[in-house]
Amino acid sequence: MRFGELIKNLRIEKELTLRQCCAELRVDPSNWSKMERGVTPPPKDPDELRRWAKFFGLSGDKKQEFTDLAALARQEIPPDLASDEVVIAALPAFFRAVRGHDLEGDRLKEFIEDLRAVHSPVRESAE
Amino acid sequence: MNGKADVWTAVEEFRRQHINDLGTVPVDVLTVIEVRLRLDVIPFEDLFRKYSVDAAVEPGFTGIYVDKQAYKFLQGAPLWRFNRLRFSLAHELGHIILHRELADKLKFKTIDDFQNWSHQYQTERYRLEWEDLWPTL
Repeated sequence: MRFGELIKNLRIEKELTLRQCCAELRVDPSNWSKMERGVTPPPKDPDELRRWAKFFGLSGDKKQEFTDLAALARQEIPPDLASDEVVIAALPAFFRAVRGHDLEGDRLKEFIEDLRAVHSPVRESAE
Repeated sequence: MNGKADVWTAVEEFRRQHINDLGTVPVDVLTVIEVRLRLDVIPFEDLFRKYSVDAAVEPGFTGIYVDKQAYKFLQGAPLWRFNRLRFSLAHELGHIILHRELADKLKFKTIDDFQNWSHQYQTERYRLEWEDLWPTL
């Protein structure tokens, strides 16, 4: 299991939405979402990780697994920016626009660059 | 899936499986999406301001993009903003329920593929029947 899957499972076990979980932990939902999806690594700070483990009620072997998976995830260096392949594959299937306009031309290019940011890591994984 | 009866059947089945035991009215659509269905909610910077979109389904139906600002500040947001995002998420959930069979087909290799499909879908297949999924309470 990857660290991202683990924290998603732990959050869902507590029946928390991403936003609720992040509000409790005082972390940024976008960064947390990226961590769950394995786009960005967890923080280095052991105190921060301990705080998260405590929040999820982890102790003993489970806490150790949490710490180990975080360390492993940090060793997997993600690319600076999502590749074109990743971004094209992530284009939203259904796009409900208020005014009903399609994305075309420069507007689509701009959207793709914004989408690239959504699927690219950030320097800091916690606020 | 085309007819209204099919839609109602799918809706009732979905309610039975994922909503009825929540015991809350109005239904917390985020809990349904994130906790019950385990979908990823992916905050997207300025999605609404720049593209007039609150939410959009990810290909493969494994996640939903949401406007980052609206999602992050949902609690303190004006009621209309909260209701709008909630409705949009329900709309996207409708796609997931009713168009699940499209998940494998909606994997685009090029931008042209995406545009061609999007255009065709908007003009030929876009329907509002699934708006009935989450009636105003």
